[in-house]
Amino acid sequence: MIEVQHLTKTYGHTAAVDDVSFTVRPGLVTGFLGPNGAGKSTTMRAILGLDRPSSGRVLVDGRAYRDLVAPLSTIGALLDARALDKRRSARNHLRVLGSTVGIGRRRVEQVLELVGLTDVADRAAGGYSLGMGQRLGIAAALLADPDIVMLDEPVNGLDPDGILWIRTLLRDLAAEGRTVFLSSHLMSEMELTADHLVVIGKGRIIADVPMTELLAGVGENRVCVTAPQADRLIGLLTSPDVSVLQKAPHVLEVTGVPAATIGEVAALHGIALHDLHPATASLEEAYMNLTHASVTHRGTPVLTGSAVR
Amino acid sequence: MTTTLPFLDARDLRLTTSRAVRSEWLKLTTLRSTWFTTGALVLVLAVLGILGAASVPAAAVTGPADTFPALLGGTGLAVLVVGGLGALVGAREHASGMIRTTLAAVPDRPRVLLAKATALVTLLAPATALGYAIAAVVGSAYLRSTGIPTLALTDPLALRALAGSVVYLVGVGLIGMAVGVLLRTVAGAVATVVGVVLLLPQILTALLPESWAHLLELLPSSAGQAITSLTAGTGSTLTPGAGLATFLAWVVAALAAAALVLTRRDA
Repeated sequence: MIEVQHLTKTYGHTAAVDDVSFTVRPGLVTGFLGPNGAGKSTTMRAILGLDRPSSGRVLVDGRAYRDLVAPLSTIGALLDARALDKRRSARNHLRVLGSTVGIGRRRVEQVLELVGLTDVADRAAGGYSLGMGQRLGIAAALLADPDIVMLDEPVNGLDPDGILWIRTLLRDLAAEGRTVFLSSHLMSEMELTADHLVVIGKGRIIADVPMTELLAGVGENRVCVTAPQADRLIGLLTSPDVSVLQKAPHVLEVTGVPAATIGEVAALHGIALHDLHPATASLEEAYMNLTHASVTHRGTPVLTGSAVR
Repeated sequence: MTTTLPFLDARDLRLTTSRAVRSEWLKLTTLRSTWFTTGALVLVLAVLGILGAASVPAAAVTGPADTFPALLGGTGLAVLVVGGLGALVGAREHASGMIRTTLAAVPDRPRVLLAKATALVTLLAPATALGYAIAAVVGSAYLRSTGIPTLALTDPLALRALAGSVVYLVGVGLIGMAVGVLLRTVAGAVATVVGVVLLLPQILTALLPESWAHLLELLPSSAGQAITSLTAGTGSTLTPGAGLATFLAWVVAALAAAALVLTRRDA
């Protein structure tokens, strides 16, 4: 469990994070989503005790990071895959880290095998590609079998195979009851991996919700309809509570009427439907909605769709 | 590649100081540059000590203690080597970003510094002792073979001078490490250590009036030399004991400053 409580960190006069509070719970993959520069890495550095909070505090398993008895087996983190001595081999890098909690060669070989670096483990880590470095960072995070796994942009530089692998691994770690916390600026990645989402923008928490709730909130009442006689259907559906967006000559997006009702209306009037399904919003849309809202609060004009009838 | 994290045998995974030291020791020994530098250190002390013995002018020798300092002739150059290695140990992690990985593993920062210092001493003390031992054994054998008197290596004075020299070089290494941590750049730290230990005393001696001489004796290099002096009144009024105390005070102060700054600084 990670508890961030009213965390504020200012560098000079700018607040990188501003009164941020959230809790990361065990058994779930919690995504930390936000554009670059939103404060994700600052928050993660504060969790690891690397940066001192200007105010507020962070607890890892109920303790301040500096008071942890067995840091590496409590929380394994990957913040920056390049944060290592370039000339040391990957194998020795892991031995150096593991030795702080009494972990020896056998475990090092296990995690090297896990991330697929066994064959190149004696090469200097500084010569690794971005993807290999990322794998080494993940190996380091998992070295001491930690209860909490925290990864900053873990898919960065991984090939499609690697992305699928890390996604499965993280889901499995959460299923084992561990706390998994990962950041990304890629919304599509979060949609596939995370159960819970903490969204940060300009140093403030915009949303802290279960993924299903976030998606449901956006997809609410929207139904996609494909019908050759779409124009007729528009006339039948239109009412003050319903809006119909004609996305293509035969494709409609209807808000305010359930799919079942649309099907019944169509059947009653003999209108053939080629497709009828409730729209599931992508996280991307949900995210745009959220950030759009936060922009609106600052007084920027809201764009309106011209195709709405 | 698999997607299940293998089970780690349940056992004690606590961070302890001895484990932190072990980690720092592995850091040192898994870099080839450490061994080059250590080899160079032994070589400098051995070769320059032996050469020093070989170039002792027989005519100028009045007693056995006169020739002994020549056996320690490698000290001046060795200061650069240990200061440089110390600076590297202190600064390189900051340059590479490794320090963040280190501090995540060992969040208690004074403990990181303690572990680094212990590992560095564990490397430097035997290496300098070996270099001086080679110089003393070979050098004094040479002197004796040419009929020039020199101290027996079992003589308390000789042992004090040798041990004092080891302490001085190890201490310079620690000061180098502390400066490395403070400055976070290898080049800057090396320049600072060399400047403070080698150049500053000479510059100050040249610039300051004679009356300041006693104060200058308290500089790390002068205090360090006092530890190894065999005869009273050779340039310093500090006794070896006072020299040792003064020098160690510098080492402790440098390490304390590094610990304070490391603890307060964002990594």
